[in-house]
Amino acid sequence: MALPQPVPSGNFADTWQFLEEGLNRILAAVQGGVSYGGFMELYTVVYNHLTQTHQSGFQTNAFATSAPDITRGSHHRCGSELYAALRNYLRNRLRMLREAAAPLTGPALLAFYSKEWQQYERAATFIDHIFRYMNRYWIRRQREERRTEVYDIYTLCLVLWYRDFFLPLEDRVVTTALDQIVEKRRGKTIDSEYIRDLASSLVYINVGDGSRHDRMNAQVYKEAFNSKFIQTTRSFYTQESDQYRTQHSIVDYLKQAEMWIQEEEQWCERFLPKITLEPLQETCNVVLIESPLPAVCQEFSPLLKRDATDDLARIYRLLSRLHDGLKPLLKAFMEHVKDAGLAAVDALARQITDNVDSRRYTHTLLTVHTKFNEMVKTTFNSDPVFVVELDKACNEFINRNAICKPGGTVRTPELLARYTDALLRRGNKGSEAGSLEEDLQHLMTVFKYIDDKDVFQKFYTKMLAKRLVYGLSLSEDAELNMMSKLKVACGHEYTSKIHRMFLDISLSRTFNDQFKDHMSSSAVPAPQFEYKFLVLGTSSWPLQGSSSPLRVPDVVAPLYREFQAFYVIKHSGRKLQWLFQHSIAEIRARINPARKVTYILQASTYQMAILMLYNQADAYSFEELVQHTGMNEDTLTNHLSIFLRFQLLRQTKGDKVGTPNSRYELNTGFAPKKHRINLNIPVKSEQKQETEATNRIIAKDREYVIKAALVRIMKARKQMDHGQLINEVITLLQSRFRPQIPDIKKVIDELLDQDFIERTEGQKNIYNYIA
Amino acid sequence: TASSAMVGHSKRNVKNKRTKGAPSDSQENPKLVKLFAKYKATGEDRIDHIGIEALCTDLGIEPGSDEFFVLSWKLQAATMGYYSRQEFIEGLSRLQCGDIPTLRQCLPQWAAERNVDSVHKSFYTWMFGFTKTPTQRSLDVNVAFEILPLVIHDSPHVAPFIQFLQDKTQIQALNKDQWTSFYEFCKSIPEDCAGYDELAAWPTLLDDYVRWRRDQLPSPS
Repeated sequence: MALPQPVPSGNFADTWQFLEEGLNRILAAVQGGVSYGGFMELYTVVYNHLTQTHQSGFQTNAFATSAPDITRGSHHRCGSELYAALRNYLRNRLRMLREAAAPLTGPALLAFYSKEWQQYERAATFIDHIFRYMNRYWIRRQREERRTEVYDIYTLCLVLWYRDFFLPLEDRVVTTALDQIVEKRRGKTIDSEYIRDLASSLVYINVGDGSRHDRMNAQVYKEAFNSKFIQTTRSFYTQESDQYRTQHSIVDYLKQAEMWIQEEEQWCERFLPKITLEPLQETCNVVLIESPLPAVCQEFSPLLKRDATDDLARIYRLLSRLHDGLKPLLKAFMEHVKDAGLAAVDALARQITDNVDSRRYTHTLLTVHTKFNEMVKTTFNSDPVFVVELDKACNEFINRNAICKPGGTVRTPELLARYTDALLRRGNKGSEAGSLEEDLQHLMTVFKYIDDKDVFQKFYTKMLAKRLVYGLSLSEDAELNMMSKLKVACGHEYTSKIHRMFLDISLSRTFNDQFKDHMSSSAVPAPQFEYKFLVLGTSSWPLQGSSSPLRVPDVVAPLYREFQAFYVIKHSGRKLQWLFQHSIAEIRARINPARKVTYILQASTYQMAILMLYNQADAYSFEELVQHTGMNEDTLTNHLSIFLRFQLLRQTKGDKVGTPNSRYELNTGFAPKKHRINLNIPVKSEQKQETEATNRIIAKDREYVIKAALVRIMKARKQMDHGQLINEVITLLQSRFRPQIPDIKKVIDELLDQDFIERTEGQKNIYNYIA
Repeated sequence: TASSAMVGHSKRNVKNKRTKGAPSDSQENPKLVKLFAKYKATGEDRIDHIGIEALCTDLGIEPGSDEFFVLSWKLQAATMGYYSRQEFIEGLSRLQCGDIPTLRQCLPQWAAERNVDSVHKSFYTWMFGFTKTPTQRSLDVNVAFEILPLVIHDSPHVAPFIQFLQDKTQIQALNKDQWTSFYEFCKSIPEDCAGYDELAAWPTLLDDYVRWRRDQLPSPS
């Protein structure tokens, strides 16, 4: 392909004249200013000019791919000649622009800058293309030789814009732009696009020495615009916020501040380079949030008290913008939740006079938790730091409150266990949450917070034992469900005893079947009543042994003996210990032969032994009763008291029950309204004793557990610092209870005394394990 | 030399008390054997309290006095009231004391040596084993009340500690840890118990003592 030769080569003046015309057209209007053909002509002229000295005449192949082998001297002269001419030309143009801008002010100045910049920048790209050949060889060589004042053509255009146009105008342009921004903040509509163009032009013209790196760091923009922008923003909002706060409440101020911040961010994202956003946010945070921070924090507690969730959420949003900004809120939140919990329990404590209703107590705790859990979720965005505080607060008021005082006898774990018992008992009438499952889940929510999980465990197993022994369970499914919940919360070990209790029940079921088979083939006559035996492992069941010996009543004696014999055959080496106080009999009784009423009496085997005697005679002396039943006097007295209370028996001699020669007669006038009567009721004082006994057992158990933990840790570590050891013990036992340091120290004393561990010579706080 | 071999031997015996009764090596100093025979109980191969009283009289000291404890400590005697043959003969041989006058001369020097801080601790620790009833692990408090003022002279805690044990606790005996910790306690805790940390590695008995003591002392404010 042959291009027409545009200009004669060799003559620089001609060459330049030709180029200048082209440049004029380009700078006047990039689009449509020069056609593709025109562009090719300009390119070729540059090319020819730079290659002419070496090759006289025109070269058809304009797109040489390898560098022409040219004599340096002459080539250099051509290059610098052309470069200088272009530079001069551009400076000239920019001077004219400057003059045109001189009379302009305000938005018009910005509009002019914006329009001219866009035009110029596009032209610069185009010019750069025309001089590409020069970029590739002459300029590259200059830069390789570290002539840093020589730039590639595009950069040259930008450098000149910066030096010959922007710098002389800098003050005016930037000030105008910042003024406009202030106007905008005051609510006036402005042409933000002009500011955007100005800002982006400053990012472009950041050329430094022309290397790539300099172009990236936007130094010119930062110095000429960004820092001033941030500074005016700071002073603007400092003034505005101070003023606003003198006239409005903090709550209103926060609304305003949030709006300001939003507007600033949005505008910045739309119109300013990315690098501005961070310092802008920082400035807004400092001026709008941090400086009134004490006042804001002071407002937090009152807002909590008023449940002003919108305002609270706003404070949360604003303060979470600061580093560690939420910190001052956390303590206030914790205290508030704790106080709310304590107040709720106080209110409950005022209403109750006698026993604490475990259901109401649990629900009181739960209501407080639910409320603030919801608040953390919706108002504080489930922020983990708030979750931690919520947990801290719940832990406080759940374990220590007006009803459950430290050192007191009533304890949350016990009450919670009682509530669980109520839920899992047969006859649990409906639930507050709608389903048992939900009730149990709620229960577990509270359970999670109790420190003394071992106390819960003790009471829970005690009550479970009663449910299972007396057949009071709502259902086995419900029981197993609860057990698995506890297992999930506290681990396998925690429920191992519970698990074995259920196992005993199911083993007993099988064993009863075996025994019934055996009975059908045995010589012992089949009893005329239903019966069932439970064989329970001593180690897993928290049941106390019998309080008294007993001559087993004749009616059940053969069965009793037969079962004992059968069991020993099946399980040699085991010993059966009968728990008469936990054995129940249903006795059909017609107290007054004249009346046709039959009562069903539920009685323990002890009670049955007494009552059966009254089939033979209507009255017995205390001594006769002792002799016939084989019971000890205390136990007998206790049961007689119960019968007297129910008016089933009548004391006819002696002033106090259980005194020598006192006499007890069947009360034929016995006529209660209910036909089914449970006589096997615990005596009030017994219940209290039982709680105390349980607490004693717990204290003893804890000692063992602490000791085991200490030994385990020392065995593994061999050597351990006192403080670390205590921490490890606490961590290890946390899931069961919170061991007190003096208690741990007591056990350490013991271990030292028993030579399990010793102190390191000269370092009394380091213990060594003695194998 | 013969004497250095004996030093090594006795050290091992101090550490390992189980070999205490074993017959000693053949190279016993005849002079010391004679001296031992002078005080030894009839029918026993050891010096009992009667012999000790005689020895003390010869030395011009009281049994149960500080000098007596210093002597017993230097002999590394295991139990108060007795010196075994080995303790006596090997001990004196090690100490290079062949007769009563030399022994008498040495006593003040040993007492001074014992008073050096670093040595005193080992004397104090030894006292626990020496004064306790051999069949028991712990030291009867009544004995402790007697000897504490003897072994710790310069602490303001000794008298109140004894008072505390007598009046405020049902403690019958001090165990080894309580005994040794009390020494540390006296060395590091000032009279008003300032800076005492109940959470630190002190035995709980000392925690209780400090609590009681702090209540007793007028508060600084």
